[in-house]
Amino acid sequence: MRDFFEFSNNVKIIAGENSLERLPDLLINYGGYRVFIVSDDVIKKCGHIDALSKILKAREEITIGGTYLNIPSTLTVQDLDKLYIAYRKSGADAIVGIGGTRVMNAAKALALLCSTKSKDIKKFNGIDAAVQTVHIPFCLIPSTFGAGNEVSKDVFVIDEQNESPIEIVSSSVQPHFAILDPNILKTLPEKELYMSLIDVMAYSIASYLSKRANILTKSFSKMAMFLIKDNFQNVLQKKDINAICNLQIAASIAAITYSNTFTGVAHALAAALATKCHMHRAEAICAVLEPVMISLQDICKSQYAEMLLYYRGSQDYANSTEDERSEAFIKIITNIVKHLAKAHNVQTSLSEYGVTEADFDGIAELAINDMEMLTTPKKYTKEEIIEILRQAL
Amino acid sequence: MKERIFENTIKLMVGDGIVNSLPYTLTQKNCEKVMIVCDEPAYRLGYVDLVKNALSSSPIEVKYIYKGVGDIALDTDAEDIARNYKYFKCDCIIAIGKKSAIMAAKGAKVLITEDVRYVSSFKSKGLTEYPTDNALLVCVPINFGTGFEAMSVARLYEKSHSSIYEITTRYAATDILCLDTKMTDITPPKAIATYGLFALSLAIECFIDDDTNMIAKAYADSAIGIIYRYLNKCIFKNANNEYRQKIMEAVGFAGCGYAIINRNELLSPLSDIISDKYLANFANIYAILFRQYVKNIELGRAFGYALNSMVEPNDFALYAKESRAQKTLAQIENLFKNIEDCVDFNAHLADFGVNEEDLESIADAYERGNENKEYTKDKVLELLRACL
Repeated sequence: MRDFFEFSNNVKIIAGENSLERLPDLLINYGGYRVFIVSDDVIKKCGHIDALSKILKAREEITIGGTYLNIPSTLTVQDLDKLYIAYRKSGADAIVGIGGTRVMNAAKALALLCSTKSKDIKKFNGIDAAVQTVHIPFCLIPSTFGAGNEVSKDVFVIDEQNESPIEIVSSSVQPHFAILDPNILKTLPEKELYMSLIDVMAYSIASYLSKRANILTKSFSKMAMFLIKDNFQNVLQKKDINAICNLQIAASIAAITYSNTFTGVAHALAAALATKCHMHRAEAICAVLEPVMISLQDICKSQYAEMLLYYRGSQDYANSTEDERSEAFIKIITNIVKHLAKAHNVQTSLSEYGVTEADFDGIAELAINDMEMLTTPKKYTKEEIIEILRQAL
Repeated sequence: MKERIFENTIKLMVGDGIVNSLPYTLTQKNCEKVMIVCDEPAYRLGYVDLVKNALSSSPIEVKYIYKGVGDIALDTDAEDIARNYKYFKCDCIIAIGKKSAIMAAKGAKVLITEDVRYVSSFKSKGLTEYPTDNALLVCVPINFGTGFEAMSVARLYEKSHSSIYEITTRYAATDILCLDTKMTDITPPKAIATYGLFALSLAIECFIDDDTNMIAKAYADSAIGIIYRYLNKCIFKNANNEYRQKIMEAVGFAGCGYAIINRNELLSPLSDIISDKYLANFANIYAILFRQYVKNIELGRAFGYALNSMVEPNDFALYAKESRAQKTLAQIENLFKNIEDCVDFNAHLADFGVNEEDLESIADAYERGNENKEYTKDKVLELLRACL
């Protein structure tokens, strides 16, 4: 038995169609009256900034201090400085981030600086190094749903001077509340929607298998899996808005879980592939998921069998023998991934992204030193990581 | 589409000696000056010292210890705590003790947040809509908890009116719930049985409430899983830290789940009335009422889902979907019976001195205090009779 465990989720989640309209009330509830919006041009083009502004302006107590759209795909310390200066100039007392992963990452980094009265993001590198001293009402409104960034505790910034990543894991970067309005996902390209689904599946599986998993985090993963099972067909076939909302909730639940457990080897590899080969995380997950799952099959047999029950229901579970279940689970997950990838022309082998054997050493080196590897259920050697990459090639 | 809100931002810390992690956690929350609120048993049994010793190795200062909370949390307790909190310029309250100490601290937290001196002020001006000030509240129960730690409610006895006053606001919620098995090392088996069955009741509510959601169910799922695996073991080996920790976790999880859903408008007020009138343990009364209540509710698919938490996957898969709800119900009754057989658990209202003649007045008290038309006096009486 592990002697201790901790579990927390600091984020209030409001989910439902048109839940965006709740934003003014919630901001006031948390003491925010002058809002600084962090977003990007894509979100503006989709009309979400206008919709958001209209909702905020409808309440006379609330004003918009500024809107910042210049968020790059990779946030550097210099980018963050510019964002911070813009916030200070705006005279705002609250932050609202609306957009995808990069927007939420930037908004979280900004909120961290504001709430700690600090200009130096570098000193928060690592786990739990930040202490909030100022209350800045902070809200995130995701326009995608894969990684559940709206509730996760991580922020990633590149220190361009030292050419090194700053990886912050802290509850101080979490917003006070997140709004999951499926209307915002209506403009999400189909491919992104399905990639997000793969992301949610991968996160829920990884946190279930994590060495830090406990009975509570497993229950959270299980509920995310139930939501995926009950809704993904409706999303694929009918684009049902209620089903999309349920998948948004599943993503948030999965993220609450992995924020407490960390993930594992698949995500460490995906991060390394993103850094070294500029692959999208979900694309990298598509490529490595099957060999990763096979590499863990021997030691995670019972967990795979349990997840078969959550993903497919009791009939599939009852119809297979104990030995067949882990095999069946791997097959089901990889079939979903392959099906989604094929339907949207997403390549599932690393070579199709230009990755070659020559890259393996660097990728494996980066992956094995990733903090996500600390909680993977098996201790991998570099050779084993390279073998996974080879199978994914 | 119905809007769904998931709010449970309690940080849960569980383990043997976990209070030693409090300095680190409080430092993370920027706390420097702590006020301790406790009841007499917590002080006498040395549990306050455990927390003080843990904090002594850190820069966090214990500015004041309020030891005056009795068996019932009074409005004046909350007012005194809030006054001292401000006088000593504290930034955190650590409540150590049973329900009364925790309730008094919650009441104080609301007073501090609202910046008012008297609980009675809420009656005249109500709660401020958007308070922004906040006091960090850490709860360290010395029993297995009652789930109240997690809920957004402070329940105080008003001395001047001889009545109970409930303040429901998210500012009454606990920020950090610290469940340390060292605080429960002398808990008798009967109490463990009571808290375990109470936790089961709250957890099942998380599956059947109309407005339930997946986060509440996740908490409930864990709680039920633990109870079915460990409650018996813990009753027989109450000195075993691992088992006690498990049941403490279950009670904490069930409370966290229940805090997200709607309060049961029949069982909760009825349990209050009976426990106040007969000085009975709230958790015990709730469990007794729940056992009978659940037999008469409409069993839906969600109820059947709870079976998944009670049995192993292999067994769950064997039951057809349509039979799962019935099986869940049977499992609940089996556990109650099983516990009744192995420990002297108070399974009937009569065990607390409730007589047939009292039922009418209990039902009247419920009717007076509750506007819920769904539960007629006849229905209330029917439930009470079944529990007698």
